[in-house]
Amino acid sequence: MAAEVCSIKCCLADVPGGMAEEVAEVLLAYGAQSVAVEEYRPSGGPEQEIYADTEGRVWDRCTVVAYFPPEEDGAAILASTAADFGLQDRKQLVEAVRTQDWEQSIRDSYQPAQVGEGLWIVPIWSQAPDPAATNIILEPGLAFGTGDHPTTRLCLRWLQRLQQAGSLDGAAVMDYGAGSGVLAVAALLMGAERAVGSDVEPLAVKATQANAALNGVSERLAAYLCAADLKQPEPLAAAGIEPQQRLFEVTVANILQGPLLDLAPRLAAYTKPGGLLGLSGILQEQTAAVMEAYSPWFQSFQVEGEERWALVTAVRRTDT
Amino acid sequence: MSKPKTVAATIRLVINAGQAKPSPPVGPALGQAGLKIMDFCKDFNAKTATFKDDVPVPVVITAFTDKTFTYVMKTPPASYFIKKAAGMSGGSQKPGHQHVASISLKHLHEIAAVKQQDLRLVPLESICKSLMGTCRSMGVRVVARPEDA
Repeated sequence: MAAEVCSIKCCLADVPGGMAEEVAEVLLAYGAQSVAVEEYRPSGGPEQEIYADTEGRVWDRCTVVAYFPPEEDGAAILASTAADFGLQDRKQLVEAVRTQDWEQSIRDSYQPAQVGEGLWIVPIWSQAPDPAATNIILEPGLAFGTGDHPTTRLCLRWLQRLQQAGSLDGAAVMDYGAGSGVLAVAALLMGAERAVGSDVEPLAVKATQANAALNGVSERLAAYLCAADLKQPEPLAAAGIEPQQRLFEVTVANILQGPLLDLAPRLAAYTKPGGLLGLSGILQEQTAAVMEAYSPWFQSFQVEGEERWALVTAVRRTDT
Repeated sequence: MSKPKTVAATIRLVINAGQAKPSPPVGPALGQAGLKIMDFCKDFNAKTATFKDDVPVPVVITAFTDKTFTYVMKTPPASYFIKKAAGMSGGSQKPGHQHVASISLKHLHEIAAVKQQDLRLVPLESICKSLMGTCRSMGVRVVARPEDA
């Protein structure tokens, strides 16, 4: 990936705690895209721990880190703001940030995560803590679905229940809004025969294909790019897939309420009569609207929650 | 294990509702603290799903040393409300000299009431005064009655 400059990072060291937040607000007002306030610790100095349960406390001495778009003169804005607060003698540091730098820090933050009994998501550079479990290997990147979000966990545990009930054996699975492809890959590892992943982001389609390869299920997973605009042709038909192959025993979609409401007819068309539906990416208070949108084609709705998030499951009606 | 989490940084940024993505400003800001960028994006986009498109939402994220985080959303910047109310797309070129658009006192009071959600200890009148200052720097005229706007 091209190492282009995406931001200019400007740091002001040793800002008194009492004015740090105001300095941050001013820098934001003058065009910073983001401003972080951290502890200022001259090398070797002791840490001053601020605990989560103390409301609004800041460190006595702070470092303020502002990111500016490349076209702004971040260095000049930082210098004049420092002077306005009487901090012109404090150390200022300016450096270009390239797209790669923060991608690396994303990489560093992923560890194996247990989703359920005998079910783990393992980043590609880690060892699976339980080799006998179902381990979904993922390369965490820019696509959504690393196992940390409650919605991914809700959907994966649902798939695991389907597996235990035998509903995945030999099944065809549609993962609409696939992101990293984690749900499609999981279904295949759990016994599904074939899976299709579809997403509006080209990066997600690539990630789905890459993750399928990591788990040895490439031959059974097909990934398609689809348009966000539902007036555009349905992606599988547009790719020349025959009608029988556009029907699935299990349809799962972990997106957001907005698109889900509009997608009801399409997801219904994908699901065989008596087939199973799982929808997430919705908050508990959004489930009623979602169920209403899907009730012309689905029945036996159930809702399960984790934190503020919900999974809505249903069965495809045979009469519509 | 009951030791409370320690804070690594507080991060401020403004993101349009429903539009959090890993690119700047979110990417570098959260990446620097080692936070899970996509998790934040999905969470933020879901929570702002019912907001009007393009509403700028100020966010304050508390990043902990264990790489977890919490965040709160605040009301959009005053300038956003004033722009909308005055029906303008940009501020005045010569603030204080050239009046581009106007807003009524009544409307200003409504905006103040919204901003008071973030400023609960500040009296409404003080917020109104502050908003009038913002109007002036944007070149927006404040008029007494809606009919005069």
